Amino acid sequence: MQIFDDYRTFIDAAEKSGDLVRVKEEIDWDLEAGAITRRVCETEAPTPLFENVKDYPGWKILGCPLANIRRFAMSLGLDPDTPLSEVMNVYESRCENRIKPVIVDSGPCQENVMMGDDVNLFDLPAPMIHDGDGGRYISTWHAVIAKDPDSDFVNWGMYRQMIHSKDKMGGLCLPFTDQGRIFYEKYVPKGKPMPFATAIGMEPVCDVSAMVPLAAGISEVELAGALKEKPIELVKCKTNDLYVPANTELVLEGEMLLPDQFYEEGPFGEFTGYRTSPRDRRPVYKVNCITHRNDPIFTMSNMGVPVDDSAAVMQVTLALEIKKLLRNQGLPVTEVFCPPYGITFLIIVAVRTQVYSNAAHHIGNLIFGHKLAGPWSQIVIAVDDDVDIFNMNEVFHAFSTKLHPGRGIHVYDRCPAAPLSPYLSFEERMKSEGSKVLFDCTWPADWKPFTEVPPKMAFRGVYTKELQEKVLSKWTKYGFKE
Amino acid sequence: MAKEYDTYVDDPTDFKIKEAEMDMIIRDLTPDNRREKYGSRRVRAVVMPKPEAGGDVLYLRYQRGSLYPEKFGIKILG
Repeated sequence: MQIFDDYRTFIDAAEKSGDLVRVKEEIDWDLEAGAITRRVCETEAPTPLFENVKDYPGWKILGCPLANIRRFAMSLGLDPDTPLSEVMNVYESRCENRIKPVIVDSGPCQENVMMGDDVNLFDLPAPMIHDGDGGRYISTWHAVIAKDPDSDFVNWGMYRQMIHSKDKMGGLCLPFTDQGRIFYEKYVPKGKPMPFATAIGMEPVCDVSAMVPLAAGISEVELAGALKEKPIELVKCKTNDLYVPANTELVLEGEMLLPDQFYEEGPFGEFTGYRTSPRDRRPVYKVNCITHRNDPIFTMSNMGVPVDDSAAVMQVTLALEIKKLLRNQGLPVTEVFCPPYGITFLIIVAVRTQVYSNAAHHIGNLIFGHKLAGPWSQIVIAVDDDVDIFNMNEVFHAFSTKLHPGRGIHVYDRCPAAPLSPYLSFEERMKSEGSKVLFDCTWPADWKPFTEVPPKMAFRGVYTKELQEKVLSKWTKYGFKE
Repeated sequence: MAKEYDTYVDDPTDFKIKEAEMDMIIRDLTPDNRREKYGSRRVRAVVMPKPEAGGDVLYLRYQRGSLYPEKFGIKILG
């Protein structure tokens, strides 16, 4: 299969594989598109392409394009039937070969250009996604691009943006995020607004890359190149020095204003499955230029109860970033998984059995100290590596039987926490402060294997290999189905 | 034609007792151009416990978006 240069080729392929529905009925951008995409997420239905959007002739909306593992596999050029483990292997192996982007003179994303008085965000089909949201969220499946003024580092991140007026948007750009650091540490002290470009409807690997919590200083566009196995083509913005993928459907160029011009933003239904953060004073993005392709396609996600695009992608990307982090420190980790129904809050780690005492502590400390997994992850379950961590039944069995209720639960108090965490009190949310917990479901390293560790009564553990193979080879002869 | 707006407040029941003049940010729910629905602006306004006959209506939402079931009146001063 191909790796897609844009969502147009992705749409064609998804339609052929039965992973896309073209919706010809007129759909209202005011909640109806949101309601449909929410149900699509909750039923793992094909991605909807709304071809007839009320009030916005000429525009199409593509809903929750990567909200299940099939479509995420397709974004990497894999067959949609590729199993999760293989998707993870491919993603992990490609990540190692980051590829720098190339600059091109022009791109379809600038086929239409609006500046000055022609800038009007209300001319774009930004949906009202959830009833009660603070506004029309124009940026839910996208990248906000900004540059560190003191280095070459450019950050792409999926920071939400909501329309206030024809040329202003609000956003949630928290100080502990990459872009929050750039804004609050580099631009605000100098009294300068931060140039930004929001790219909506990039090539699918770019959206994946914008969502990954990468280690400090690693370029998202180079990761996107790695996932695509060729350079991403970038074109310079019309009104600032930032670069956007040339095939992007819609680009908003502008500057993030200084905090004295903060405006109310939110609330918004988020990836946690709740609308947690209240309306509050938050940064303002002033839009100076809008560019888009001919016959544009607007991409949207509908964050909420899993599985949405975030949960589908992060089960692979966040897990493998954490695995890399732990392995780079030499920790005895075999696999890491972020089950989609645990969103990013729950991380399951398989540990090589009986290596050294309290290895799980080491793991918990590193995960909770990671710059992005730290705030966004609250619960780590460490299990021995005889547990298939992709099988929740096995994880629950280990959790129920190997977790010592007195010695195995380790609480980390007063840690940085994302204010979107639903369980936080109002005060904790205001301070971005919360707690973490490690459930150590591994056997203690000082237990002797044959005298203290209880043998596991599982087919794979208690019978000889010869007998297992005999039973498996004769399984259907016994009268059972494969 | 009466206009409809909404805004987000900590406790809508505070506004059931008496009129209050205040600066606030409102969202336009009935703009002339439907594309501009939910656009917001800062105004000075009087909020009334009930809408006046034929007057503009204000809906109140809690800070996390839930809609308070009763309507209020609003007079925008500028």
